[in-house]
Amino acid sequence: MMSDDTKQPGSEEPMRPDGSPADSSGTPSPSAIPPAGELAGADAEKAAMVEQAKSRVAAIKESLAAEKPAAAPGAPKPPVKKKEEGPKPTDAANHPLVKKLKKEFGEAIGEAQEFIGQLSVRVTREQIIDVCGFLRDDTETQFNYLSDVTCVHYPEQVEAPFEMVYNLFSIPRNERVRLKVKTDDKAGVESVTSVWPAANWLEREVYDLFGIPFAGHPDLRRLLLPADWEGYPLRKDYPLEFIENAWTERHLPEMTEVQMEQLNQRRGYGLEILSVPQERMMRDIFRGGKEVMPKDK
Amino acid sequence: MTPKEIAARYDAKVFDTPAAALEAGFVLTETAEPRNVWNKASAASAIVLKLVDKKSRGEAEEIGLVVESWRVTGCYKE
Repeated sequence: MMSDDTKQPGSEEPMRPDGSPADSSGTPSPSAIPPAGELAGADAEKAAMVEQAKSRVAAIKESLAAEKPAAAPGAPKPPVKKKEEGPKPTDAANHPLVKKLKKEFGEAIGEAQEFIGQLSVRVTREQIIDVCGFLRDDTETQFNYLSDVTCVHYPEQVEAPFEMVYNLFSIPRNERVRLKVKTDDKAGVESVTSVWPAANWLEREVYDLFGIPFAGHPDLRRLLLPADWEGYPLRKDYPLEFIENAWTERHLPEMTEVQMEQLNQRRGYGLEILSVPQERMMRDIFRGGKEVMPKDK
Repeated sequence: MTPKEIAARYDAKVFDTPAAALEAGFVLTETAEPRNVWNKASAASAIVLKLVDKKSRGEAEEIGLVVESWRVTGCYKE
């Protein structure tokens, strides 16, 4: 099928708007080209219009320059405005929930802070189970959902370098509260699995990565790392990067002398930046589908 | 924080090379060869915290850190 636009030989020639004929390629036919005198007149008009536009632009630039006072060379720049300081935590001793807890538990409730609408209450280690049980069961609080359990390591606080953090949510009241408990890696804290069974894996994760023991936990063992892993990776004294340790020595093949030589040469040329051979070897092992993790018993 | 800032925070001496630390009478401990600046800072922090622990137990009189371009090493003086 040919399109309707296609002109057949001998068909009518396309016409220009002024009625003069033009060929199909769009080039004007020799009879349509105006005489030289008319062309010169059109060029002169265009040149005049360009000159007018240029003068208008120059006038605008001058007026803008007159509005701005020219800065003296070498003059100091105006000071950059400092960003407004962000919100800071405020004392929440007068918060109704804190008052209620203090009335119930007295000295066991420590300082309370509120930060962008989030309430944090410090609780003593000995009372954490009682406080959690109260917050869950009281009809005015009903914190029936343990959202998360995590931990923070403060190595400079020698007496109690770890802080357990319990994020609670009340589904019926749509309220949140955060409980904080200071502890160390010897004493640990009591498990809250008796209050919220969901704490089981959350506490196992904290035990795995921080080494905090949970008294009364039904199944306290590592959750993410292999059972025979040594060390707790989320402590501040544990480096970020993969390091050779007892586990890798037991389970991963050692580098050959040739591989070590290659590594040193590549390092010498600054090529070994993005990965080290040990990591590549681990990837190869995983890709090969070999069993490198001990069976979880 | 950079490894040098970490060392300053925990009163650890900074050396450019292991040889300089050995000359000053320090004993070298563990070495880390991190891939980037964040890992380098983390490695320095981990090494220094272990040395601080050693110092607090009285096993080291002075602690230090050897900071090279792609390597961090801990050191202490007994």
